Amino acid sequence: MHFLRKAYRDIRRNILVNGISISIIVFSLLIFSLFLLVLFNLNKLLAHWEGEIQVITYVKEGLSPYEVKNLEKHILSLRGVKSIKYVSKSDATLLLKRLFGGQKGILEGLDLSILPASFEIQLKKEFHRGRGLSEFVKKLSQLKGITDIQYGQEWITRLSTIVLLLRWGQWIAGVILFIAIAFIVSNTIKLSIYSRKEEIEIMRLVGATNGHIKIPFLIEGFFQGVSGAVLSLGVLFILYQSFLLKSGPFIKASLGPIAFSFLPWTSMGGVISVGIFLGFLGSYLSLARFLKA
Amino acid sequence: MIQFYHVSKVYSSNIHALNDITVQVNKGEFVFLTGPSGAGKTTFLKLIYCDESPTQGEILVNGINIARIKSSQIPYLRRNIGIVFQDFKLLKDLTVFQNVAFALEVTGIRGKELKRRTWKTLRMVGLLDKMDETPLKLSGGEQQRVAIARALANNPPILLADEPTGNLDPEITLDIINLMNNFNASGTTIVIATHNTDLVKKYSKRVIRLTMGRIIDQMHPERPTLTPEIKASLV
Repeated sequence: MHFLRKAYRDIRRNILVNGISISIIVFSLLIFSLFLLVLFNLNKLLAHWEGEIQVITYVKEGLSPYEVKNLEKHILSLRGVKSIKYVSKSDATLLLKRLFGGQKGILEGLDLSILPASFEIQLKKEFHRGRGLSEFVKKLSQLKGITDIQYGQEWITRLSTIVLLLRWGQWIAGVILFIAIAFIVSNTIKLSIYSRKEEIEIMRLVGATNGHIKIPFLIEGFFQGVSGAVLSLGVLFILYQSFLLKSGPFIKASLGPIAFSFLPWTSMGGVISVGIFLGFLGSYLSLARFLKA
Repeated sequence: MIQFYHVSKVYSSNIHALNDITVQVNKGEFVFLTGPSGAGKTTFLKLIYCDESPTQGEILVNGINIARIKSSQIPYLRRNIGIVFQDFKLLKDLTVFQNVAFALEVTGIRGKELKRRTWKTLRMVGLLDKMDETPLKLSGGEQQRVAIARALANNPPILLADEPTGNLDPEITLDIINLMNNFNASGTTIVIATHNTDLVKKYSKRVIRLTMGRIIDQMHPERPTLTPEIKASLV
């Protein structure tokens, strides 16, 4: 209790230095949380794109309903199938008509009976790319009654590469950003401790133990970390509300059906933990070096 | 109380601050440590309060060999030694009361006891009426009184002062030394480092003279090695 009171008194006494430290933590963590926000939404988008992947297989002309049912059973028995939907010739015609909507006239005079019946196959997540997908397609092509298979090979390969690059990129950028922020924050705290060099020197001269000197500084570091992190999330939320959400049409165009959302609670908890960790560790390390000198 | 046995201190740049010093300061003594700048006075004091450790030799303070003291024990040793500096080393944004209470707080004294002892010490140095002022509103002499109060708040048996009157005019200087003299009369062992030989001459106290890290002379008021001037001042 005494240390809490002392830390509170010290913060009030050194309000300017504390203010500067907190501001630097706010800006550093704002960059970090902005990065997390973009990453979070990007990952959502990637997951959505991956979920969109489906395999369409066209059915041979003239199969009896029994044969179609049989084929469906065979496809369902293949590894990796999540769901399957049969699109009959008439379904395909309806779909096309719905697609053209108001411009139905375009379709007039066309023989829509050339549209083939098909199966739309949704795959389980682990079969969305790489070997899982190619093996599934290979097995599917061996089934009788199938004419053609479409699954956007090129698109999937490109998407997989982008996803892989982004996932690695986010780790590398995250680690570099974290190190940079840790460096800035610990140096800021070091400066704030150095600005109170005289006070620490006097404390040592009058017989204060290292623990007695350290504890209020660690509480201060903890407070700086927490308040810096909470404020940075606050600023991010204001930015999100007033800027990111308002530029909705642009973002909607880039993200498609995905809503641009704020950081989830777990990420916010993560940012606060990073703030506490940096504040606490920054104080601890600076003090250890200072008290040794 | 303070014993040096063949103590030498060499700094890393091969500067011999102290050379083979053997000396003893007894309990309740008042000693002036004099000598020109760079004679080793400050190093002598720093060795006593463990701000430096000796390169050679043994130092006993209150019977504890501080040449071999663990760093975790140093704060407890310092609680038995009050230290006063030329530049006062007061915290400018704290009041006189808070500056003195600061020394008691670190030893775990809180609440009423803290107030009582701070008031008592401030009364002893004659600054009770200025306890709510900040140091910058006080004169140099008053600031040094606050520093003395802080040094003595814990009732340490030893008071060390490094050029305590270096920044003060002659009249205030005498005030400060007289104040220390009063504390000495009530049993505190006092060691004052000063290059002010005129000041030393005014008091019939033991004098240890250092030059280039060696003791070149020790004058004791009761011994015939006293200069006629000091003898005269003793009469």
